Amino acid sequence: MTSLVFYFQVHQPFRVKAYPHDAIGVRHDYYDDWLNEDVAKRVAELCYLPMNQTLLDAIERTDGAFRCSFSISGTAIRQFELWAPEVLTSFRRLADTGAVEFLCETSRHSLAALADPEEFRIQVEEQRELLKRHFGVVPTSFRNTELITDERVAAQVKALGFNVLLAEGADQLLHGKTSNIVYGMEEADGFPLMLRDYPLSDDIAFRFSNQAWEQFPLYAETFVEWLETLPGGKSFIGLYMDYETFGEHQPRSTGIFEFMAALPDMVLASEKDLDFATPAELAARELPQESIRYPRPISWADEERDLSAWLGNHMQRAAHDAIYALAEAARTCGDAQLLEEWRDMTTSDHVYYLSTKCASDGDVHQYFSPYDSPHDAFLTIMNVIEDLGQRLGVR
Amino acid sequence: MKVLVLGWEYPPAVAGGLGAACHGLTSALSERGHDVQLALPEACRPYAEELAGGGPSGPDPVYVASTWERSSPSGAGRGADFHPYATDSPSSEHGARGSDGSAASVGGRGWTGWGAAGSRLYGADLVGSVRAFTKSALERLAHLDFDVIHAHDWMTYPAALQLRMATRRPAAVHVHSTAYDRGGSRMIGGQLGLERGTIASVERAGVRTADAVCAVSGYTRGVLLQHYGADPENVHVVYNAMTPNGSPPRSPSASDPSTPPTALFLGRLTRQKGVGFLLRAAQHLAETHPTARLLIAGDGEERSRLIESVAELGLAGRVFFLGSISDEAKREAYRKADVFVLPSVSEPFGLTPLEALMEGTPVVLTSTSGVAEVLRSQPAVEPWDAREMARAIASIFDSRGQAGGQAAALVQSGQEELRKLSWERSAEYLESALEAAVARAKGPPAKGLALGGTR
Repeated sequence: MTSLVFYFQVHQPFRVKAYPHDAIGVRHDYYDDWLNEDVAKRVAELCYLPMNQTLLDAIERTDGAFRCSFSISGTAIRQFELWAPEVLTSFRRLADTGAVEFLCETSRHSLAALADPEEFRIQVEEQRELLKRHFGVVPTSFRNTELITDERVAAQVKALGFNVLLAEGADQLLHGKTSNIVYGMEEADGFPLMLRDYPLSDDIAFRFSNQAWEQFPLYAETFVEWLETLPGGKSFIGLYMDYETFGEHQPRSTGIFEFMAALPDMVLASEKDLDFATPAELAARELPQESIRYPRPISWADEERDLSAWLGNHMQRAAHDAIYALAEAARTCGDAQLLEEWRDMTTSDHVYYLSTKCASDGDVHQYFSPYDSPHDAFLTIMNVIEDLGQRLGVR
Repeated sequence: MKVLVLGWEYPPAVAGGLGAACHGLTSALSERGHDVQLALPEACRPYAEELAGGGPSGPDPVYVASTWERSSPSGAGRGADFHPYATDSPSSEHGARGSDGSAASVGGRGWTGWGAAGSRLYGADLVGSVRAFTKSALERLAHLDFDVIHAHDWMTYPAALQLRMATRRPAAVHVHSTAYDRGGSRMIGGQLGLERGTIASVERAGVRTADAVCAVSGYTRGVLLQHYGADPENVHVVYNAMTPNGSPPRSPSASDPSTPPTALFLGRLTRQKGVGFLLRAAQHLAETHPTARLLIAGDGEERSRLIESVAELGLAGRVFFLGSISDEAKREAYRKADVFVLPSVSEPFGLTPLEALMEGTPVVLTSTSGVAEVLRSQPAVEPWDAREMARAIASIFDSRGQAGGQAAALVQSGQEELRKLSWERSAEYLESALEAAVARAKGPPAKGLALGGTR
């Protein structure tokens, strides 16, 4: 049996507003509520609500044979609470079907696993709380921010009691081996890893509407044909992607909703042994078949699949270091509001916007960025950090 | 004397220091009883009209067309039939440096200036504008009655030289800045402007043809002699001054020694200003004064590079960029700073240190700036000597708030030097330069007059 394991990432950061130097010490309203509300509502309308409905229909139509999983960042959950509560309701409806798994991550979609293990633990606990409160679930599978995975991450995830880690099936990791079996991480006593099948994932997430692609337009029939002709011995296909793919990155007019609506029935109708599973179900069913080594951190971002999307240049590393330099002071300041404001600065998007990569990856960075340039972003972030530092009594 | 002044910037149409200097000198000349006629490019007019009567003192300007009317469709604005003094293409001056491909960075001004009129006066079609101004100036001004022409910076030199030829009246050119200072121009045998069709060549033609040359400092005079082949007897130093803003100089602010010590730079972010060297100094400073902050106000083509350097040198959280700021914010920034630094690699004059001192803030200068000649009491270092620059800044930091300390003493002596500077006084030196131009045009050069402007 080969199971399709869908995992959709839902994330919205609290974007920072223009915060010039003369604001330092004067005002502390760092976050752009107006923009954040606007984006949350727009994406809810374009993606979250209609796509949740599409998936709910598929689950009901197939009597729960269609299954999938989500990771919803804590910052996204809070934005839905504030500005789009109907999105939470609709996720709750999905949770109630029992066919949907919610993965755990850091509550702030942060790089804490790399920078500050204590902060990582706190943010994971926070996220567990959020998932329990909103969806009544206790997560057992984990995905780290942007699938950033290495030995340290796996060790922390294991220590926090999770059963499986979702990660990128990067070429530099697999060296031509398949991504479609459960691996055990050698450096972490064989901790189970479920890797992303990036070619098939990206066919949907990136190439779907690309008219220059020789497979354009992609129909569900074609996709199922590909699945049917895959060589045997595959436990699962990890189809991991941003949920905003549906209706936002790939607009409705591309037919992406129709594609996803048609896919479950076609997969289930296939004469081959194909079905759907959630990561927890798959991890319970399959033991790691082979071990795999992680010489360095691997992520799902950019061509490099490393940390360079967030920590690739001096500005990024300087801002990242400056944020975490305040961690201890923020956690011990005794001011819950101030701690929250600092903690929302750990969201990885803030350093992602500082990327100066050129070419196509740079375009992706700029697509998401609310700033005119990475340099403007850096100045803004450093101004905010200076103000936070002053309020925390750190110089 | 009847003086025809050719200007390019004039308040309220100001992009950098040129407008203030042109206004200061022109109105002082007029107050000294000279009959001054001022001609400005048409692009200045909207700014003056916006003020509607509340404009600056001094003579009413004549506006001269500065928009090139393309009479023939075959690109009359360019080509080999171009005026020999102007450049064929502004980008040849700075290579392909401007990423937007515009000529806005010509002369180091344009959008990089913090004055509002920058983009209009130094727009993408600057060379076309200079051409149009030259042609129109000849048509509009040749019939006027004047004894001498006084032309401010290279944009007006072609017009001045053509009027000089057409009317057989003497011309003086006033050098506020040179291509040498701005950098990026090709030197041929140590000389600038030998390559045809560059801004440097326009400057060279002006400096070598004019009947008198005014340089804003001894430093600039040196540049003209060394790199433009100027005649030493013909170059007069006319220092800039500061237009008083009505309020008396402020005493040094009693800064709270518990707040982080702050250094300020304010100016265009171009290589000429040497901000990269100041960052190196900030690195040294961080060792001795870990809480010190450096504020950088202004904008320019070096901005991104400087921001990246801040991160690379480990100065994030110590150096902050303020961007282009209003006049009010400027005064505020001067007052709040413990020291103002002008790290210029080559600075013809440099007005900002005068402004800083007016607001009660001591300054650190570089020896490669004209302003160091008039502010002799303030510490001046070699721009590339980051350690020495850091030491000069640190020593002022350490004495802040102390009555009778170094910082307070520097402000006091600096403000005394400021009092000696006035546009009236500068206009005296300008007057003798103009007289020299008239005398020189009449007959053999009168020896002794030529150096009259050097103090």
